[in-house]
Amino acid sequence: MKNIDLLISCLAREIKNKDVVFLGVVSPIPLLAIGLAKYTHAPDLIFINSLGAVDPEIKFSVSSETVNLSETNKRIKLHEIYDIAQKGMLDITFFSGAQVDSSGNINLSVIGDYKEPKVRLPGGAGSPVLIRLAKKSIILCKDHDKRKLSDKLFFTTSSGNPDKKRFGRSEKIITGKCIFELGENGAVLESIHQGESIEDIQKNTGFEFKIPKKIKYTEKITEKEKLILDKIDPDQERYSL
Amino acid sequence: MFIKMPEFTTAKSAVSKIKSNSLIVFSGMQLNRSPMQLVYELIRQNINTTNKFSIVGTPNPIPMDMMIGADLVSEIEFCFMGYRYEYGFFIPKHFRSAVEKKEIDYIESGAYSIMMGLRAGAMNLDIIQLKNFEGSDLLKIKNKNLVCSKDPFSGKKVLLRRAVKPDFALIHAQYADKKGNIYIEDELNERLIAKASKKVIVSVEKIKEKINKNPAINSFFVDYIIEMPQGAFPSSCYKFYNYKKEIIRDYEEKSFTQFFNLHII
Repeated sequence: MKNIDLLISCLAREIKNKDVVFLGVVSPIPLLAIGLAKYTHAPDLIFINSLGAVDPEIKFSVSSETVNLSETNKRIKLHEIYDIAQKGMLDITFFSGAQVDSSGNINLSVIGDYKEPKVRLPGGAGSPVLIRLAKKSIILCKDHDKRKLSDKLFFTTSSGNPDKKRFGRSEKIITGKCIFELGENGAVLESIHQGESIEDIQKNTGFEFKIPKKIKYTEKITEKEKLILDKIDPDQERYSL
Repeated sequence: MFIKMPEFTTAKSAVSKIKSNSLIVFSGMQLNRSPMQLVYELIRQNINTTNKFSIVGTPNPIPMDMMIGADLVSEIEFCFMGYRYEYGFFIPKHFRSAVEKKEIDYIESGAYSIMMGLRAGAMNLDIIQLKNFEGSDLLKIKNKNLVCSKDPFSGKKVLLRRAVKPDFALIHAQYADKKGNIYIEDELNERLIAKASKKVIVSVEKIKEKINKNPAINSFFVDYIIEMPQGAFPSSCYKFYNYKKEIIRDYEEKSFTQFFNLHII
């Protein structure tokens, strides 16, 4: 994918210094974003991976939870991530789904009817509660298309609905074409990536969204950021995702 | 007070204790440290019989899917059946097809719910409260393990789940000592699943005379120990070997019978 570096830098900018960041299974793109944030503006972030490794060395991994990523002396048990989250200590996490709507709800369960699915999907893993408990969740939707960015999900595996009765919510959807900010009034187009057009984004988005009067372009990835990505992913495997 | 000691034995003998209709939980996460050789033995002993098992697990797709592929599963409680490796992202095919064709009973859960159930099981409780689960459609589907009730103290609605008390835990670890204590270099939740389960079978890469560390699982939580180098293979075992991508690909590409004849038999 051509703008994968831009996507990674968009995700990285969502992480603040000293944030407690959790990353679930099969998430190689957010993994690189956490690495990029750590080696630029957020050196003191605390990264917990899905194997319970705390601050492991960040290197590219196709799966985001491989053997070399466990290389740390600091560990929590798998179930302790929920203790941390239930206490409101988790600042940010990243999810994606087969479908996402403008409230940041995600479907990781089925395509078609729940009881008679056309396609059975993997399931939500930790997301059904973590999306409600993390102070903010960022939804990554690499392939920007109508079926994925939908106004009606087949199933809400994990609810990012901003009902304010919990610690946080789904704050943004970051796609291969643009960034949507999610709030009480639905999705607002925050910025579009260089080379993308509003018409094309409208054509390929299944849910309604507001377009501000002045269109912003997504900040470009810097040369310094690219160099750091090449250090975390020296074989440039990210381009084959 | 009698404190039981684990028995050092063979995979064949330990696995033969697992009777039909048992509920089984597996160690491991994604492609890491699943008790694959114990699962292979379980499949060898039960394939082409009428025996069936229930399985429950955290994101541990391969052993769970193999049990389904071998037609040994009557019910599964799962939270994530997928994995990514060098050849892409996969939803394991036997699970997918068994659900799509309604060949097994399944309960889709969250990892939080399963882990809380195991925590309750480890304390020998019968139920436990789940919190901050609202909004998910997982609460709207039929689930015999969940119930909405009233908190007797506050009068507010609470979500409760049944404890998970597996009949057997199958675990692979790096080391045991001669006294039967288990040492794990990358402990995930093995102490928890051992405590929650009625019987615990652990395969280890190596048995050592003495290990000067705090064990992940004390001997009195363990029933059977088998020294079995490469016991997690083809999944990985931290500090020993990585997962074998070629065999995982074989698993994706071949029918279960072909895979069985090539790798399990």
